[in-house]
Amino acid sequence: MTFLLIGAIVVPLIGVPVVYGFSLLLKDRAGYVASLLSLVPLAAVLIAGVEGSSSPQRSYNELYSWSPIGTFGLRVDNLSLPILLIISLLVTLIALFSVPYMRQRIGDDPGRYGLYYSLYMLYSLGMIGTVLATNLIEFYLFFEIMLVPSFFLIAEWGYGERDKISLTYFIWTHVGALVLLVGILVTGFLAGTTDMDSVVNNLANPSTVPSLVRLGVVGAMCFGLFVKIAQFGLHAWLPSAYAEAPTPISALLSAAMTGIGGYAIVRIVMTIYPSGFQALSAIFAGWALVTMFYGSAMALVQDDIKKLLAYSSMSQMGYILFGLATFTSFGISGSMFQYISNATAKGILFIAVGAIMLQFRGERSMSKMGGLAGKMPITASAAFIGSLALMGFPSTNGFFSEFLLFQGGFVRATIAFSDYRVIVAILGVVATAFTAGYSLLALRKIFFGPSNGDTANVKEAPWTITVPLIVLSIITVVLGIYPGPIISRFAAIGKAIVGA
Amino acid sequence: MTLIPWLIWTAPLAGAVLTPAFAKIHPGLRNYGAVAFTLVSAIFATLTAFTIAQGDYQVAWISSSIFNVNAGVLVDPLSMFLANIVAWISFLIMVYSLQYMKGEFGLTRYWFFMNLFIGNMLLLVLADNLLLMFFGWEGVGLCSYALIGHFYHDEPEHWVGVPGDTALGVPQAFPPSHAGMKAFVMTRIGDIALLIAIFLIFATAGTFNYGELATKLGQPGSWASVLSGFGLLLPTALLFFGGPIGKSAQFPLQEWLPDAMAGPSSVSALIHAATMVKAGVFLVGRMGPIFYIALLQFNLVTPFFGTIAWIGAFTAFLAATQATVAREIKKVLAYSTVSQIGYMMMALGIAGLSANFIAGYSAGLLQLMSHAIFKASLFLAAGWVIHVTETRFMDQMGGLAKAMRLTSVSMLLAGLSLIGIPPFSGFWTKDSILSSAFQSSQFVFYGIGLATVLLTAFYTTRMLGITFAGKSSDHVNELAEEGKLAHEAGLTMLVPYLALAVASLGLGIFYPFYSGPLTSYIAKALPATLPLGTVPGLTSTEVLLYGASIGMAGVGLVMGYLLYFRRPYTVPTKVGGLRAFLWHRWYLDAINYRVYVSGLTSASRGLYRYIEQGIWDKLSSTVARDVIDYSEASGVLDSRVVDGAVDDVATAGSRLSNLLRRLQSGVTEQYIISFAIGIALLLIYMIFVVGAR
Repeated sequence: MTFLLIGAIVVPLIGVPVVYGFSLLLKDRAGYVASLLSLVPLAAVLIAGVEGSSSPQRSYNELYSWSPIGTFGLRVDNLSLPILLIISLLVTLIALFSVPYMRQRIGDDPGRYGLYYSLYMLYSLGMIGTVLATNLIEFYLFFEIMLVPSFFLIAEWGYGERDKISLTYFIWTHVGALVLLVGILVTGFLAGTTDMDSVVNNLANPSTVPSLVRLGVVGAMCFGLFVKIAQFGLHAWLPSAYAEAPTPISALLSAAMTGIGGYAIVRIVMTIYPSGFQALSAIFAGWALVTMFYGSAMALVQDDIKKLLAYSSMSQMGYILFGLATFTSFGISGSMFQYISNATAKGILFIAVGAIMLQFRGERSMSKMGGLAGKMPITASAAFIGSLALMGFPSTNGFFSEFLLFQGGFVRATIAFSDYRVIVAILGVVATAFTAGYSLLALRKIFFGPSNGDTANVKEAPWTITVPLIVLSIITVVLGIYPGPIISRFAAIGKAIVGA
Repeated sequence: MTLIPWLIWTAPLAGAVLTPAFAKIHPGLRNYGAVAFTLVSAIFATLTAFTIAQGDYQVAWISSSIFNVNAGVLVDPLSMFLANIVAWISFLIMVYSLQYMKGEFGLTRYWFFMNLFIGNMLLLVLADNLLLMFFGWEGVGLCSYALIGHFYHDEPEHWVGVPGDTALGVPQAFPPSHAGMKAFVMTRIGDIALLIAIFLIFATAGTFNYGELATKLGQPGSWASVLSGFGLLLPTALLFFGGPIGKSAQFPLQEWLPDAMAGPSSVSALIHAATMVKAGVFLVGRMGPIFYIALLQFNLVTPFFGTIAWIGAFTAFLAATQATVAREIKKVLAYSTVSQIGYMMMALGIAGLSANFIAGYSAGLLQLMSHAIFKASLFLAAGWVIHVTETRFMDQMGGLAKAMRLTSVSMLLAGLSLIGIPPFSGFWTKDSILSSAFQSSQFVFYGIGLATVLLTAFYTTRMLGITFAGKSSDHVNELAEEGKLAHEAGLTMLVPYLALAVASLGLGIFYPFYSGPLTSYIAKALPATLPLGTVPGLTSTEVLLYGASIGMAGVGLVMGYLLYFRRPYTVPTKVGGLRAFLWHRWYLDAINYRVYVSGLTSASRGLYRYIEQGIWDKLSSTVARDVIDYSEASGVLDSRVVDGAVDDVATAGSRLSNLLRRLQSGVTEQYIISFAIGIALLLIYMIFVVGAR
């Protein structure tokens, strides 16, 4: 028994007090320590991924006995490997980005830095644990651990009416999590265990679960997770939370955390109850479509750049559900790839916005910007690449993820021909026009046009911001040209679920 | 050996990637390096055409359990024909840029995107499958966006249109950054249609490869029959055509191109002559034959090719009318491009409507070649004229022939080719389009084509007359007084456009000798199952048709000569009736803005105000407010209680370690940190204590 993946959990955990201690000495520069510590999960996952690739199931497992609940397991496989890599990379990079950003936000109080970075480590632990989990209860625990520190991070360092906004965020997502918990507990009761593999085995025979109960459980779990991925109607917490959170946290919320809801749908709902999900998939497809259009339309009319990105995230989460709702291997692999694309794109864009806010007196209103391309060339180029990925432009990873998930829509429509599915698939592609519209409009308002007196003295951001931007941009383009390693992994998962 | 075809499109891309590095070393290296990579590409294009066997040169690209795609370069007559035109004309434009762009800002960006543009265009031409083609296709769109908006600071001299001019209340003058965005968004609308068609084809055929798509048509249960079974075959073909409509600026997506000349003139030349707008024609040329075979089995050929022909013919006429009233020299040329591409589309449409597929098909592609050459020449020369006169308006030029003899001769030669006067190449190729329409009894298209010939002759003569003939305008005289005399361009700029103009003449003189072999060469690109027909030789009908089109061109030419060479030109003060209708582009641009841009924006605004803020925001803020009120009222979260409890915890904790003693700065922090530590302890307990059992 090796202790490898447990390190990805324990090191951030130990990091909580360690980072606190360092920040009393180093103040803002404790972010470097947080960033370095976050390299450990990245390395652990990478090693586990390499080890797992040589195994027949292409998965690496670490199981600890955890009576009376079952096993406390950590798993890196085709599905979780790319997602874990991108999460831990984002955590590392955004810790760097936090250094200059939080220096401006906090000022000169060592304790406050300690608090920020402690919560930051705990938050990252929650996300990594959620994706690693192999047990439903364990999953739920990490899912909640993810929520609580982010709530405090927004409440403490947010903007605007941050107490009200963080509370809204907490209530919505917490209620969602509780509904999910109901689904988990019923599943555990039906299967007699909460270990995911055993649950799948025990419930493999469709007759074990009455179809009405199955629909109810799938409905409850999906409802809970749809709150997380902010589908239309369950999205009310998202725009203000993303817009008013401190920008590094907005970046983590949008790029890394929200999409975990989509991951959980694949990992839990679609793996345990494929037929139940399929039965509801036509409804979900329409729901996703509404979210895609609604989010884009909202993004189109924003002047606050962070709010624009918030609605854009909502719309992108619609893409993820859209792909899943096709219930095809194309769609599922596309959705999971979309998680990766959204992570890099939204990571880039929120960091870029943070850079602008940092260099331009905390300004968020696009109408007050203009001509920044020449002042901040690296930020502008990165924002450009991020927007292209958002638009699903070829040579960025966004193209392949959207390509796969839309292709899934058309495969679904043509396997067994249905007018509804054809129309949904077509409208899904049409929605990308809106994304192009709001992205290009925002780029133009921020970076082009004459630079006015206000923007004349703006300078490029420091290396702690440009390095993350460059790293994420390179990943965006490399995966956009050579997506094979990602697609082959997710395709295997999709095929295993759909069975074709 | 198989590497050579790949170098055609990878060389310019490598040039683009290296540009920033070169710029760090020396600006000269950057400029000449960029041009050198284009030259390499052009040389390899020619080398491939003559030495490499036809075939699909593939490498593995994406492999997974659900689909596999190889990336390949398809060497066949169509791709070689296009690649050579694109690469060589691009090379000349790059040479021209060396001097033209001297001293402009953002040069590294300029060279980067120029090479990226050329590389992507060559990729889309050479790709062996739809997916890879789409990379080049979108890449071209991106580069056009970046290059049209090159002067992104939107200085007034880089705008297009007359400042203050409005149509239906919509401003008709656009800054470069707007024009670039407009190009991107409008072409993207077409691309979405194209993408839907590609999805449908792949979902039913399981391949993107052109060759396999053609082969699979012959098999039972082919993708065409599956799509036809759903009633989606014709819609798929038409949606596919949406991409070319956008890219090649055809009705109803033509409005981006006239404003696209906000970019530097070298960029306009590249967009109009060698890249971008030719992409749509190429794609119809590539997929047209495959769709023909697919549609033939289900008797759907006529609606598809009829649509192409109608859109082409209508666009040819529409844009030609607009060109007759334009004030900006590059706008005349831009409308002219839209119109000329309309001819090409019409020819490709007629190919499918007639028994002689090859007649219309080759006519369209040869017209593409002629047009690429003379239009590049016209734009490059116009760029110099604009540079010298410091204005984009023709009425502020005038009488330039005296000071710029070679430039005016160059524009005259290229202009005559555009008009279609024998023996220029433009005459032959345009006439073969008209003849293909006539010979296949498509007299309506023939008539529209002929009317457009008259308009073309008129607007070209008008442009030449206003710019070069007569007396100099006040503006030019003022410049002269400031010491800025109109003068000839340096050789680096002059040679490219003069060479292209002369080439247009030379290719025309030798046309009868090479047109036959070239047509049969192009025919080899077509699938064997296609009913080709034969190329008609020189018959008495053909001679009559020549006469008719020369006559129409002559009428337009004489009208233009009388109105604009013999009399000084003044901008009409009163604009109304037909002139206003044409000037405002038939109001199509304004309608686009009114209906789509404003419509969507106000719909989104309404949604935001009434649904998002009216319902969802209100709902969640009410919930939050209620929770806060409730906790305050009930005292559950009474601040003293909570704070007290937290204080206790913190005090207890601070006895445990020195670290915690520093936790005195604020109440909330203590609360949070103790909470965090609590969770941490719980986790450690669960992992190590429970787990160890």
